[in-house]
Amino acid sequence: MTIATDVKTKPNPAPAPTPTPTPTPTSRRLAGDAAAATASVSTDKGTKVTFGASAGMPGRFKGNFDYQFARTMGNTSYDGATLGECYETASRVEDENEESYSDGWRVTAERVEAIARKSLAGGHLVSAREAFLRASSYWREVGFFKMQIDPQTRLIWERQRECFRQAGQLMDLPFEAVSIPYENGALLNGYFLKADASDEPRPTLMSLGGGDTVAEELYFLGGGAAALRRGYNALLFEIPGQRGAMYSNPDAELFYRPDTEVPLKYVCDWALGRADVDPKRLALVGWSMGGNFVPRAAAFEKRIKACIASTSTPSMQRTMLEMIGLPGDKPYSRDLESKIDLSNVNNRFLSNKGDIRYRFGVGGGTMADYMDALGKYDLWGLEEKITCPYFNIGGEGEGQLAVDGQKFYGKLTCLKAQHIIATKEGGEAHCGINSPSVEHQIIFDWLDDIFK
Amino acid sequence: MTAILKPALAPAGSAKPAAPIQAIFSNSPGMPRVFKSNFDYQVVRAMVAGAYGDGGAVGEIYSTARRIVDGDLEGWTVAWRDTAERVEAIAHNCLSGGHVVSAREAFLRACTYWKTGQFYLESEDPRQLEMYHRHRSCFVQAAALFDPQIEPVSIPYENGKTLPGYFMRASADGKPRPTVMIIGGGDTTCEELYYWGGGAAAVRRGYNAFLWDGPGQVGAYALDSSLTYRPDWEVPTRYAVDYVLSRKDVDPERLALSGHSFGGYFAPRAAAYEKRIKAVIANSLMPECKPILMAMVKLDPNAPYGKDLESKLDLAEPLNRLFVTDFKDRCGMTGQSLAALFDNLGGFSLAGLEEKITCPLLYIVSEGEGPLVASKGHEFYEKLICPKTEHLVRFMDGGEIHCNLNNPSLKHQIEFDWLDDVFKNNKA
Repeated sequence: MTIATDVKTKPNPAPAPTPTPTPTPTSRRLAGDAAAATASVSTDKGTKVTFGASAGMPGRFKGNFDYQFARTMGNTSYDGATLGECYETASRVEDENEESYSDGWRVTAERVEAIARKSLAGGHLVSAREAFLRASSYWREVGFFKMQIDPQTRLIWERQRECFRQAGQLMDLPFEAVSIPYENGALLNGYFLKADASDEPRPTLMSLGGGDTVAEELYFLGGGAAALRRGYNALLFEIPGQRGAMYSNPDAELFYRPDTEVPLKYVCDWALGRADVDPKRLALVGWSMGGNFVPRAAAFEKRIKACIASTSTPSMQRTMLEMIGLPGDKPYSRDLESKIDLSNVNNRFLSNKGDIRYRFGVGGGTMADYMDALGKYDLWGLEEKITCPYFNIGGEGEGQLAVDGQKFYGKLTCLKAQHIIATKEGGEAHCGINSPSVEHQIIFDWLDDIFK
Repeated sequence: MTAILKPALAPAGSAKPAAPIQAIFSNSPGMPRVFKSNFDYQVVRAMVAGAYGDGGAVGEIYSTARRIVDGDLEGWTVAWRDTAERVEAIAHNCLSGGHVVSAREAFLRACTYWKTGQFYLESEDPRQLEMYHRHRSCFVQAAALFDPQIEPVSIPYENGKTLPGYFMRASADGKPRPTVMIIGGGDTTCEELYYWGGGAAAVRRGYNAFLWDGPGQVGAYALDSSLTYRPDWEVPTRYAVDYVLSRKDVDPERLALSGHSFGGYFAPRAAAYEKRIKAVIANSLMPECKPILMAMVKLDPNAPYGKDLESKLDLAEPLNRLFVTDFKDRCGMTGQSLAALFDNLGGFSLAGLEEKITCPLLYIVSEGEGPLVASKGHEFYEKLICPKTEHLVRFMDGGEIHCNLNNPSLKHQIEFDWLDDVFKNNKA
């Protein structure tokens, strides 16, 4: 479904309704093969929030691992993974077992990084670059379900960063690892990728992740590579609370903060200090929780000339409650600990005291304290303060989250457009991770027209 | 000159296969497992659309596959056709809006989906040709959106006929570059060689690529049904080499031929006679096509066969059906028996050519192709006297399937790192 308002970008053709897979009259079923070999995948009806098990997903795992698996596979779009390496790894991972997940990816990451180093030593630079990009993705998965406060996680994070930077050194276009000055001497880490080697001012996409992304990953799912091939610069960056920002400033306790216009002021100062950034064509995209950070920043930071939310996340508290299987639209009790089902990896990951919760500055508090903190991340009331062109992109696989985002979108008064990717389009997962090129096509075609 | 490289890494023991090994196609750990039949292999092949760095959309493939019941050939065609139409419409939309990169990527995906949907169709079905032309047309439209553009070419062949191909320049500067001529096998078109055949990989590495179809291959046959498979592949190769060497941007000292699948017969055969080829890659080696293809369709390659071979073929397996319909036609055996087809395939043998191949040869074999393919290939490889390298892609490498379709990056790393070394001292 596409609702374009004011902007002239042609919407993608609407998909026809999805038929139920039934054998046609000429069907020749395989003997004894009534069901596909894969784990069953329901056609999504929006019952799950954010991470749905929809038809465009691998179906290799039943819970959150499947989302994570699709996310890694999605990197195939930009040389950051190969299908066989993903499937082979999955065949060694036990569902819902975080340790098995990490160990499984470690074998693959080690092997592919060794290929990269061997190709590099032999002077085969393109082979080395591609293998480093893949190794970087795989190292991220090794650390994905580990806690920020575990010292091992930091080492794994460094390893994914090292592989990414090695790949960066082998790219044809200029690649800069950058540090953006922030409050009190802290530095925000990121990457500036130039659309070409000249110093001509170019349109620039600043890409920001969410609760579990790092700047390196934004090269793939965050539109970094997609921007470059379209003649845009890309600034991949992190703000306080994100993994790399915290590791880069170990003494500063850089927790998430709701007033994201403050870090964005520093980021815009830095970007606009460059001759190769065209100030009239400066866009900001936010992924996942970045769908909360970006609209908030755009409401106050008027140097941002266009913003994109994938997907608009107006109520972080409500979304988080629903993501962990609790009612999001009623007051919660102070003993949430007794209500959350920790038998699945999704809830364990989102509620553990050492990672996302810690990075929101409430690692020492209760679940209710955590939800109180998320209550401050609310976009309602800012609708009319956002004045730059706004694009809301979501997917059917996001369930209630996409519904909330559309509600917020409906109240915006700026120039705006929206695309909710249908399951049949195959990019219906949260952030479009199962079809990055579909997501990026939609976003950049809109941005092209806005900046025309 | 010798160019013996070690495998990418020392083997650390192979994972046990998840299912019994068959010839060429099997259900190995690096597969999607959406289907049990040959559909699963074709799903991977579709996933390679854009998954070699050109913007891919695995979700598009999953959501299409989930509309298909395993083994239902009509359902397969309808579902892929539907996705191909939709994605091609996106491409046209993007193009008319001036969004060139988005258009190119969508054309590349649509191109693949048309071929995927067309794959099992029989010659009598009018959709077979129609969908082939949609496939080709999407690629031609994408080709014009590359920089430098990919050039569609028709190369002169015997009796005024032509063979289809594409020339991909590493650069527009006209300087002579190393060049790899790439062919597919028993069910390929030259268009799809862009993704997994090494076309895109070549250009990123400063090589030109020439993607082409020889007689009998899907594209050549679709354009001219008098062009059926022939064992003396050095003949079409001679025409292809004539064309490639007529170009000033090709370095004649650094000309390679890479063959995939059935092309693992064609490429070494051509290299035995066509000495202008300076390096050859076989993925994998197919020294005797008859027994390998018999095993592929689950017939006993060692048992003598009578005229009733048709009755032994399980036609519920989509691949087997394709073998006795479309593939048989492209062998020029329309209307003839399966036994006659195998007799004919007996002529596709490399036996006796071992010492005639003199250029360096890289042999890539994949664990998922099964022991028969590996042993036949290795036996032939052992008898070669040229500089040679053998590389086994294991289950644990995640590239173990036929032609490494589930891991083109790994395949291309192996191929081009080897070629780089072979050609290091070959500059014209």
